[in-house]
Amino acid sequence: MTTAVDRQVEVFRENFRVVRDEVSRIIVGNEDNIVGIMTCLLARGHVLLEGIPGIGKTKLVQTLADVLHLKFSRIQFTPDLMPGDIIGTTVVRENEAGRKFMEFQPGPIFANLVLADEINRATPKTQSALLEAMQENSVSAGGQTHPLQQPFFVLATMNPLEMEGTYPLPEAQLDRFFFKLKLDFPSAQGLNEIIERTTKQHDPQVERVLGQGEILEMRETARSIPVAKPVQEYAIRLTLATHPESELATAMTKRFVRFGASPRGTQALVLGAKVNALVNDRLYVAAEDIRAVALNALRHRLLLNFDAEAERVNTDAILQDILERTPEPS
Amino acid sequence: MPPAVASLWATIALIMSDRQVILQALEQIRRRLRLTRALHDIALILGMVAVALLLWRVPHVFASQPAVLAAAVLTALLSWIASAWLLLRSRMGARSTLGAAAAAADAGAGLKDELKTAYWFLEQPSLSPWVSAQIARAAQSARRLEPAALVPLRPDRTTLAGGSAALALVVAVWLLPPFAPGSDAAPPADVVSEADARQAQLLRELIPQTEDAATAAKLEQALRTLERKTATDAEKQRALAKAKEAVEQQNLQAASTREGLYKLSEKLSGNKALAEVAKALEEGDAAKAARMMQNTAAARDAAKGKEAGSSTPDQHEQEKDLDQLLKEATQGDDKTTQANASVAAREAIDRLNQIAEKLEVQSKLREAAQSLSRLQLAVAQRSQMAAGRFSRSQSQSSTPSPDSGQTNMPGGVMFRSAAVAQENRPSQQQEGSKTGAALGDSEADPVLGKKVTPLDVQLKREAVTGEQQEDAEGKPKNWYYTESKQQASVVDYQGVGARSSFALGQSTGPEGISIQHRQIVKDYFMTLRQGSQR
Repeated sequence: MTTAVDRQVEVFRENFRVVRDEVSRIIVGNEDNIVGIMTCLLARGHVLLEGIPGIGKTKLVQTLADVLHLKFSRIQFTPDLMPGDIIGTTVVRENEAGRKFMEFQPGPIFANLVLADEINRATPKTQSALLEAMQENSVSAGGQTHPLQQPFFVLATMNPLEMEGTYPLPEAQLDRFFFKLKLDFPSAQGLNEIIERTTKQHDPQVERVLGQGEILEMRETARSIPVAKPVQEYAIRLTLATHPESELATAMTKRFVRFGASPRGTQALVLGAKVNALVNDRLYVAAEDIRAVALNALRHRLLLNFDAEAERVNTDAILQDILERTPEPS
Repeated sequence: MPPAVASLWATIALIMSDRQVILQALEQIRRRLRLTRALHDIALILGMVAVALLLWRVPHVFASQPAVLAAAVLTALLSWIASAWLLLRSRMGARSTLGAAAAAADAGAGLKDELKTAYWFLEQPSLSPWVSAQIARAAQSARRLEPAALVPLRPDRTTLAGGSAALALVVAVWLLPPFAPGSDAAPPADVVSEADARQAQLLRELIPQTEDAATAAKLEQALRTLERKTATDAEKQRALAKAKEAVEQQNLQAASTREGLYKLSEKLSGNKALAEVAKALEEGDAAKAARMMQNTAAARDAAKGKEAGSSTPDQHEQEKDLDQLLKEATQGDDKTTQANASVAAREAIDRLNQIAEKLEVQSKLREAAQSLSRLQLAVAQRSQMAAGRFSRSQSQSSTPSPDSGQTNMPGGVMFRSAAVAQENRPSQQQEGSKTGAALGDSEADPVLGKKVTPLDVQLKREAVTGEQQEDAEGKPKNWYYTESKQQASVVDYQGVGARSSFALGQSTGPEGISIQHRQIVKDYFMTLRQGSQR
């Protein structure tokens, strides 16, 4: 006997699968990152992509924009980029009667999918222009607040190698990102596949398979998943374990972490786990779903101390340790 | 499960609500979990009993080895404590809630928290469509569960392995004979019993001959130990060693007696009448000395016609030394002294006979002690370790001879002087040898240093001769040193190089003719010119 919930879940899973398959026609490998980006989109979050140059960060976002029937804009961040270049500016216009008036000219941020390419190359002032938009889904300019059209999804890319002439993102801005995904270098088989797909006469084309309404519907479905209290407490315990002053902190946390994850981290854990549960055809959030999204949701929210930098300990290692040591809900 | 029962269960399950299905499945799993835990506890208790049995048995097996005994007892005690702790933890951590059953079912069936979450939702008052859908799905999963497969009624592998190991250990320790120190391989039963029987027989013969009560008591104790079936080899060794020590003490007394006899013979050596007696005493033969003394006394009595039994006991009330008695026995010019001599002779003969008897017994004891040593060695050689210990104990009591340095050992004689290699001439030191000759003489290496040529060889004194330049002795005033002919003949490395380069330069000059051949070439061309002029 199929209920409305089951049908809703089936639609969600089918739409998700279609998008994933369509993006995979262009993007080789990176299945996890495609799922991660989709999770962010459906959990009303924003994603930060980190990877070395040429690994396909921008291509991944462009492909996603092609697959989704959404308005897409790309902002190439440079040191001389000004906030007005992103948000938009008020210009003086003249009407038919010859009277002049001020009119807000929306910037590229007024889109559904915004690619902030190489976000760490812009100045902090420009970077912070994204803050309000990412958190409030609205833009204030000229004393007026302009709401952004939903879904509003920022995909920022960042190159971890070239640090000269860049402005590392402040913690407050990093915290705005729902997930931080790391794009690894493809394997030999992956490279082979890339060459096969991209060096022929015709590049593979994708179709727009999902529209704005469907995405909003999927968002609603994802939020409907119930979370049992023990699982929710498990997510909270994981977050608290990232705080060195907490009783739940592991030895590694106490040694290497300066500041732990914020409450946004817990939110990201639970919301990401909900999407993950639906993708795996579950009507409830299991501890496994929390663990599946823990690294992506928390890795950019931990601020490490000098000892960690000296011993080259990264946040992933600390989170893995926390996941191993934190008992699951019983 | 038979098909009929399965279909019946399916029908009943359909009728039941999702909630009932889940709770019933969880209840079944909870019952099996309880049973499994009970099995686990029983296995643990059995393990504790096994360890307790080990604790009881271990002292019996390792009675002769205090260190091993202590280690074994400690290990068994620790095992027992560990088992008790495991049992306590098992009992304290035992949770028989439905939530725990749901967790066990999720883990066993790979349901990824489905039943656990459903059970949690069932306990909550608010129900949303999503929760209902989740519970419905969980109920479907619960219907498919097989509690018997999920929670089999048997202790877990660790408990089973631990219990089996403990049981095997108990059986092994129970069947193990008492541990003999160092007995790597037990000797055949008949050999052991034969050696023990010979020792017992020897001791049995010795005891009646022993006059000393303390020695006899020690021998009897050793005999009892040998005859006791439960006695270990170590105990027998110790008993035999004590018996041998007692016998050795008797031997020492015999040696002291022999020494006394020898000194007595020295004292009597000047007495012609007692020459034979003295000789017998010197040989240590008290019986022979007694016989000689008897002969001497009989001959003297026959010659003097002395009446027997006329001795005066008053004169012999006091105990006299044997040498004094012997001297008195040879005197007797008048009648009184003859009677006294006769009495003294009889007493001396009696004393000598007593000494002879004592020496004979002690001789037997010595032989018995040697036999004991041999048997003791035989018993000890049952194991290599014990034999080594026996050898050490024997060698400690052996004293090396001050003359030869040889030491009697149980396995032979250790020669001390044979290891020294004698050599009359000091051997030539070999190249690289730092030890020198066998006698300790070593030839030193020649002193190595920079070769120095005296100055009078290197230098030659030259003088500038002239008028009025000589001193009073007629030697020139203006003189100096120059290089001697010998020094000039020394060509150092740089000189050789310079000369060769000079010769090379000359030979490869523009003319291409060396100095040596230049004159010849010149003469040749001069001859040519002269010839052409002609």
